[in-house]
Amino acid sequence: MTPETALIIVAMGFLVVLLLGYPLTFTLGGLAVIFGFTMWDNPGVLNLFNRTILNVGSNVSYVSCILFIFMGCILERSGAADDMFESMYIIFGRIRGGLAIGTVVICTLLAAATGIIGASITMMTMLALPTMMRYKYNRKLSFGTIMAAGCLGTIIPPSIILVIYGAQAQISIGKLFAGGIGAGLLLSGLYLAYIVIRTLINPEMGPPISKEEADKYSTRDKLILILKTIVPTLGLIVLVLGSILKGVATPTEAAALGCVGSMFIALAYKRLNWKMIQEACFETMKTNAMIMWIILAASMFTAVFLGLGGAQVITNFVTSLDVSRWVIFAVVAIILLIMGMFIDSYGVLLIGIPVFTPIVYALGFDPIWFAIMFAVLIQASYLSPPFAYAAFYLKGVAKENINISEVYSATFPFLGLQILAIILLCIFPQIITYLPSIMY
Amino acid sequence: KVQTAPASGSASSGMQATPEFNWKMQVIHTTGQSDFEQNKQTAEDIYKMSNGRLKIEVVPNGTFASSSEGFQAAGDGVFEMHSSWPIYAKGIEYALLPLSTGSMSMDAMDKWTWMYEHGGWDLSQKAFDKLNLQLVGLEIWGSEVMMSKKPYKGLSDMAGNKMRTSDPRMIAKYGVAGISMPLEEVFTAMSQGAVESAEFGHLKYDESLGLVDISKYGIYPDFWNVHFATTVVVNKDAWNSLPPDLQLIVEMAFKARELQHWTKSQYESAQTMKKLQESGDMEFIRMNKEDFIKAREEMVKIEQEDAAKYGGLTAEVYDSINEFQEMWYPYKDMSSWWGAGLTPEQQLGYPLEK
Amino acid sequence: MVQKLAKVLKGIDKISEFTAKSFSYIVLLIVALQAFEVVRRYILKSPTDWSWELATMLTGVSWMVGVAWVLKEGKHVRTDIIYGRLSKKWQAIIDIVFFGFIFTPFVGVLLWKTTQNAFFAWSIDERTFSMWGPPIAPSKTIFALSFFLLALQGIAKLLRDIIYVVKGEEV
Ligand code: NA
Ligand code: NA
Repeated sequence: MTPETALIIVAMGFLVVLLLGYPLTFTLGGLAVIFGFTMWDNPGVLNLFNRTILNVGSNVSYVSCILFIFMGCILERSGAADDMFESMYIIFGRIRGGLAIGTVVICTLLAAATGIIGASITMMTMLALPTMMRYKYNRKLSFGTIMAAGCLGTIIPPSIILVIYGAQAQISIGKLFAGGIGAGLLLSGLYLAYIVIRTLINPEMGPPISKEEADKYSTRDKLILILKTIVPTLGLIVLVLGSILKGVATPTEAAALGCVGSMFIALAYKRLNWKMIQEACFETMKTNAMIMWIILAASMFTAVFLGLGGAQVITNFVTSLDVSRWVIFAVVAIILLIMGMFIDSYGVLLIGIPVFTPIVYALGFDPIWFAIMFAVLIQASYLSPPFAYAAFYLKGVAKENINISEVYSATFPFLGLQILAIILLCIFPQIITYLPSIMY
Repeated sequence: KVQTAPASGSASSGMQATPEFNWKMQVIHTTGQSDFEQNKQTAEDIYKMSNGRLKIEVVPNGTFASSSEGFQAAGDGVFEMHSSWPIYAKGIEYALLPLSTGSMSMDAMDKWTWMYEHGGWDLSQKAFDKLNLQLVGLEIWGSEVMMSKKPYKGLSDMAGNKMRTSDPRMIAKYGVAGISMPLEEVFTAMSQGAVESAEFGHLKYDESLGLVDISKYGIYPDFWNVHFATTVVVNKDAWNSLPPDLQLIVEMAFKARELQHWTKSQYESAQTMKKLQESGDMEFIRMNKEDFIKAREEMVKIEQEDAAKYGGLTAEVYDSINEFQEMWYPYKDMSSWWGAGLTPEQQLGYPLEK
Repeated sequence: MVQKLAKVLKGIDKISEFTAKSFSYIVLLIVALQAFEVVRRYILKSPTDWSWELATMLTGVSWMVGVAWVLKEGKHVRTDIIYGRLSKKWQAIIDIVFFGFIFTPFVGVLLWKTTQNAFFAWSIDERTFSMWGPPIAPSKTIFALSFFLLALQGIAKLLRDIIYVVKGEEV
């Protein structure tokens, strides 16, 4: 059997079991064991999985994930989150899609405080989604906004993906961080524009407050609302961010400070008690275990994919191409997008860096520009079905009953926006390269 | 069962169409980094030398196991070969720490001499026996640099400051807070000032990570991880299944490049230093000698504590090193090169143009 | 018979839930560890060499143990494109079939391998590679325990599915 055939069998097996609806975690883990044992010519393969467990189970990147989930649980139970989005609804007043706009803005701020995606998506699903549902926001627009904006954390610094990329491809991490800012803000801007345009055309998608209701609140009322309900939670996020920028805390430590801060907010709301903390602990456990077990099983699956020669197949294909450099870049982008549909994002990174960087460098693309394009494509992989972390997190955390197909289709417009961003970044590479060129 | 891509070549070149042995080798670093490229080149050479009988696919760190479990994974047969820092397996055999590294310890030539002539190699193999691994190659790394936001002239200047380092025991005696943070956190922490200095590798390596962008000073000489050794090991079952001619090819091929690993990293670091000095991006400082004399004395105490605490092979290694050094340093002192201790210009014999 | 079995199944549920809830308090410990580390480094200028590693280890064990409880609560994400349109009986049949094909090899192999790994760690008093070098056997034991709990809860789910398909009863 050639590696090509092997990989086709692996991909088909995954699709069939996944579509029949067996839980993703067991599907990935089970197929990893079965394909590893039957197809990989190596008696030691079953020992591989112990290594994967320790790899994921002692990975420092995931400390901030549990902390942000806990912070979200506390904010949710304190009532502060609900109040904040409730007043945002009032303050945005007659502006359509106001809650979605607020969500994108908060996600952009959160993105600057966390380096992974699990954190923002679970937090915003807990905090923003209930209010959006209550005010009859279009479901797909709400889901898509949270998922897409929640992925900004991987591109706006600090970003774990960019650190790994920098370390592996030997590019200045500082310059990558600087380059990520432009691309991240472009994506954030595109999401905002999309929300504004969609709700302008169709107000039903993000209904604003009614005229009579809006007239009840004076500017003074609104100011008080801002002070009482928005300043605390938003302030907390800004403080978390500030502690990193001021050199007080590392990103993970900042998340812990955020947890402490959220307990103070709960105290101010007179909701802090042992029972509430207990419930937050239980909820954190349930959510984090669900997420982390997907990551664990996906890592096993990816290791087997690589062991069966996955990287080799892709290298052979790309190096056999004899076309213009932009066509090759397009092919690389499409391969990354397709890989992102089936395997874990870390796997995409692991295959992509050694395979593609030498090729694109040889074609004369700017290394920093390509690194950021690569990161944009990786964050698209969080969103692209069927293997879409963003969708799993949202569905796993949401209190509402949601079909995964509904979540999947919610990703499409935002995936379209990401492709638009990729095209814009090709036409205007300065969006990425300007900041790194002046910063150091 | 899956075969890796069929071998190229024709019958006339004597190349086999499909290899008899398909191995995988996980290397601690990745594409573009010196040891990764070197091991990859060696694997290609072995493929040719063996007429296509042995094909080793070199994969980057983390493909199958994280750095901390790579040696165990190789011993378990997850992949056949591994190149990494033995310290990652010190939780299984502590002697791998003194075997591969140490603060304020031997320079590269000393270490090579000890390894090859005074029993270091056999002791290393003894440690790897516990992991079901065969030692076939050894790479000794060149001098590392401390990337710093502050211009320390000596260890005592560092008191009260924070440094990211893997073994903080010695600097702790100077009141330095050693932080063993991972790279993911350190980069942001250092650029924002939460940590004043950090060590990762030699200058060329640190430059490629962009650490030069966030540090003004490069400080020498290295007192941590001095002349670290990375080892190339093979799973013993895989090794024993190899016919003697292929075993010899593997051994010779990896040994042949050992020295070049050192020369390359140091040569490139020298080029990097010249570049950074000329551009004014960084200043380089050599710490004062008095601090180092005291630091070595402090380190001896730590080594003695280690030997007493862990005993066994650890004590055996320290004994062997000490025995070697007692004989070696008087000789080295007497026979050292004329230029040792002179200025660059004295060594050149003519003035350096600035 | 079914009544007796129902008691056993409820017992398994309780074990999964109890373990997960007990371990869930770990997050408080992680918050405290990380927050104190900031104070120690930024204000007291004396950071530890163990806080980071301990927080990372604790994070790992905390989510590993939760898997059985997540299964009990039916919270493992599935794609419901087809599954969601099936009757409850057919859903149970799919779960029964895949329990054999997918769940058993996954959990069986991993339970075996993680247990072996934990025993090895205890037998040599394995340590991590850091300078602090804490024992790693406790973590590895909890990894194995997680798969044990998952196996138990998986069997409970299987029995429930079988009872539902055969008798139409939910226990
Ligand atoms: Na970020
Ligand atoms: Na995807």
